[in-house]
Amino acid sequence: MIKVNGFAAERFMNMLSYRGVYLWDVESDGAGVRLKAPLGSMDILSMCAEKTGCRLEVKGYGGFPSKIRRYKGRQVLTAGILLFAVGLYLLSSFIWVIRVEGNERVPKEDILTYCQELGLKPAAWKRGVDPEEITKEILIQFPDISWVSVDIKGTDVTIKVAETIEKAEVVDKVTPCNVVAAMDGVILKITAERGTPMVKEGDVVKKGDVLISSAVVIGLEGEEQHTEYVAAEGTVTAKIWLQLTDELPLAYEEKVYTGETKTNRILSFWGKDADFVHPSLEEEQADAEILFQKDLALGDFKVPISIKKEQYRIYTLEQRNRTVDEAKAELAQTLREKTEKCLSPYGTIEKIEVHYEEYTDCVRVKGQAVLTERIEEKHTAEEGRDAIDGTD
Amino acid sequence: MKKMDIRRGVSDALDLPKEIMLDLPLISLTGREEITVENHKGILTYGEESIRVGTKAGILCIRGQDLGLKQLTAEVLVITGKLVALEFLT
Repeated sequence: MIKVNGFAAERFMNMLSYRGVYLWDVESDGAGVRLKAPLGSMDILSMCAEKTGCRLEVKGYGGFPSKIRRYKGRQVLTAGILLFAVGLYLLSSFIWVIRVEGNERVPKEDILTYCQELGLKPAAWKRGVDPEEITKEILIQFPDISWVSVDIKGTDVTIKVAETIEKAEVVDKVTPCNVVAAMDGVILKITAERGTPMVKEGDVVKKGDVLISSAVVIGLEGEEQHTEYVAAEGTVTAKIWLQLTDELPLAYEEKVYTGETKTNRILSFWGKDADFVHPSLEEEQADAEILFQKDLALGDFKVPISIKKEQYRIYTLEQRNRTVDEAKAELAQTLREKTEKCLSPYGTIEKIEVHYEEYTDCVRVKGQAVLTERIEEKHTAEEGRDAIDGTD
Repeated sequence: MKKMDIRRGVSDALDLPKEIMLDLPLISLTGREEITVENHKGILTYGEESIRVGTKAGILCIRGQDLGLKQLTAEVLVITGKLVALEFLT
């Protein structure tokens, strides 16, 4: 910072700017001006001052070069700065984060695991990763991916993928097979799309019986006939019976919440809980419920530490008794649910007959559910065909 | 001035920037707190309330309050303060 006194301060400044000296923060100060100029231009400054008849007064030094001069001779600081620069360079030459974008059907984990096999994983040396090679390998490994781009930006790797259009399910129409019964039952309806129907409505079939045969006789009756084998297909609806039994004791235990709660804070490292402060639960029984869970992160980088807060709701078990009617209603409900679980999307429940047996401490139920269900099941007819071939 | 007229004609015809062809000043204002003059020909007078800058287009008189020169090089000149008026004197 320099103070210039004299009447020709403007001439002085013009002369300096003409000679390429950079001036800034010029302020008028009484008769003269105060301005800032680079340290290295002191010679030109004094020369110009002499020419224009101005007096120069150095008010002080500032800026980066003079600050550096202050820190001269402090070797540890210099070493620290150097170490920081080297550390930054080293850390930035590793891969830290890998992201996968654009995948819908191919799980992200599969792609990441495969990348790991190829050497692309967090903490891998950046120079050792060849994006083109990985692109090629991923395309070979995953047939569902049609386009891959591996982009290394800084310490982040972004794998962008595009998936192929989903292939339609291929129905094998060539390999000969029979349609057999999957369950015992009485046939209600049979529709054969291909093949020869072997049963008719009202027939009783056992599990494994052939419903639609793969053998088709070609040719009119009385003429020369020959047999061809096709992939039989069709739908067979049958009435089936399902036997169900269940029992329910009259006495049962019920959770009664006392309304008392206790909270617990847990710090977990790498998914393992480190429970330092634990509330005493003594003999009490309680349901644990996680109130919130938060993963800590440094900016975008996830730290494997998370905070959890749990709440315990304390309850006591109390002995209760239900009446016979209550038990019956509950059993009927469970039977219906069980039946529905057995049902395929095509099936319907015709009716459920139940028969209760009452005991002193429990109620037993025997039920018979009548269902209408599709019972066809494809069965490759290799063996049957061989047998038929053998008899010919 | 004949030479100048030819240059003006050329820059008009070819749509070339006049500040380069005719060496005219390019003056930009940021609100009323900063004025940048490129292609100036030096400071004539300097004060807190008025600054006169020589340009090819004439003397530019900048009036305002608390004026200060933020930057001064051979090509660019930046003045800060509360601007009131800009005037060409010749």
